[in-house]
Amino acid sequence: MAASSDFSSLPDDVLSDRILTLLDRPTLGSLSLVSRRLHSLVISSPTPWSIICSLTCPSTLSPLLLPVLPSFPNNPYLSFFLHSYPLRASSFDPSHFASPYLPSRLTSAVDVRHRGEVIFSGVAETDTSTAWFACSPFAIHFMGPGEIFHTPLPELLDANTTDELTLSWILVVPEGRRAANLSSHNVFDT
Amino acid sequence: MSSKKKVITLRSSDGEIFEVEEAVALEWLTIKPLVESGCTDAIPLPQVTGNILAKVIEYCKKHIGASESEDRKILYELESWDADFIKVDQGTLFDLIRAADYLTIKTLFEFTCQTVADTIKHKTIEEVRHIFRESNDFTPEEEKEIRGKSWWLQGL
Repeated sequence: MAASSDFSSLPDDVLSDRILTLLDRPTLGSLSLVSRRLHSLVISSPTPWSIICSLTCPSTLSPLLLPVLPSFPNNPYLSFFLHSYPLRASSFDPSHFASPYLPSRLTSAVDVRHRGEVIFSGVAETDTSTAWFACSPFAIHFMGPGEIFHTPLPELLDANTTDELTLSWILVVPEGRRAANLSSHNVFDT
Repeated sequence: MSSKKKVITLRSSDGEIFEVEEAVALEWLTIKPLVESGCTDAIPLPQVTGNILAKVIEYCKKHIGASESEDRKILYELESWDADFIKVDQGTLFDLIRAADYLTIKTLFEFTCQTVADTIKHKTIEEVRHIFRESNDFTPEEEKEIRGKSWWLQGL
């Protein structure tokens, strides 16, 4: 029997529903490599990942995506997170892109941050069946010409503050339960 | 005081008897129905030892009413009292978590779990193994495979 001061003496639900939900992604990553039990708890607990997801990409809380994400395979929010994390060369699998399949709808989840604070979250849908989509560069619009966007920022953006803006643009294929991250994080270089 | 406050009797797993005010016992959701039913016998708590029950009562007595206070001085004092209260060894901390979970005491449960989370944050894998005496039970092949798949866990 485990001594009462060992980690293994804490019940699974205390760890997965409470303690793990208080940790950030790198710490969860470290924990998953500590032991088999912690690995399986980190991978299988839904709550910590749904919290990390809503903090990292608040746009995923929009009514357009809220019903889609829970349908991702296995541990849904962790799957979404894995899909949308920027691709690294070693994880690039060209077979994902070999199919001629084009989903009929693409959903973009966009979050803009200034010094880490979210100043804009938005979700836009793109219909891929239009002729316009087939012959144009991929773009989404949140505002019409002349519309003004109010930010919670106290001062006007200038050349210095724009360096402090970051962009997260995640493309979700609702029917295919897939997601990909399009952003390079620099707001003017995506 | 016009009327004497109602007192509830509790018995720990090792047979120690404790008396707490009814208002304190009503915060413990597991025994709340028993308390409300007007039970006058000692309530047995077979999963909590006397020394841990004493700590739990100490915490709840201090917090009753004070947690909801809006007086910043009271809240500040409570925070520093909490910081002293939780300076316990790891076995006691885990016993407090199990007791708060078993008795369903929200404030104590959240506070003790946060304390554990703060201990884990920003620690390396080896440090976590050492602090929590969790042994590495991966085979070398498994560990290699998991690390290979875990490219998304950056910052390790």
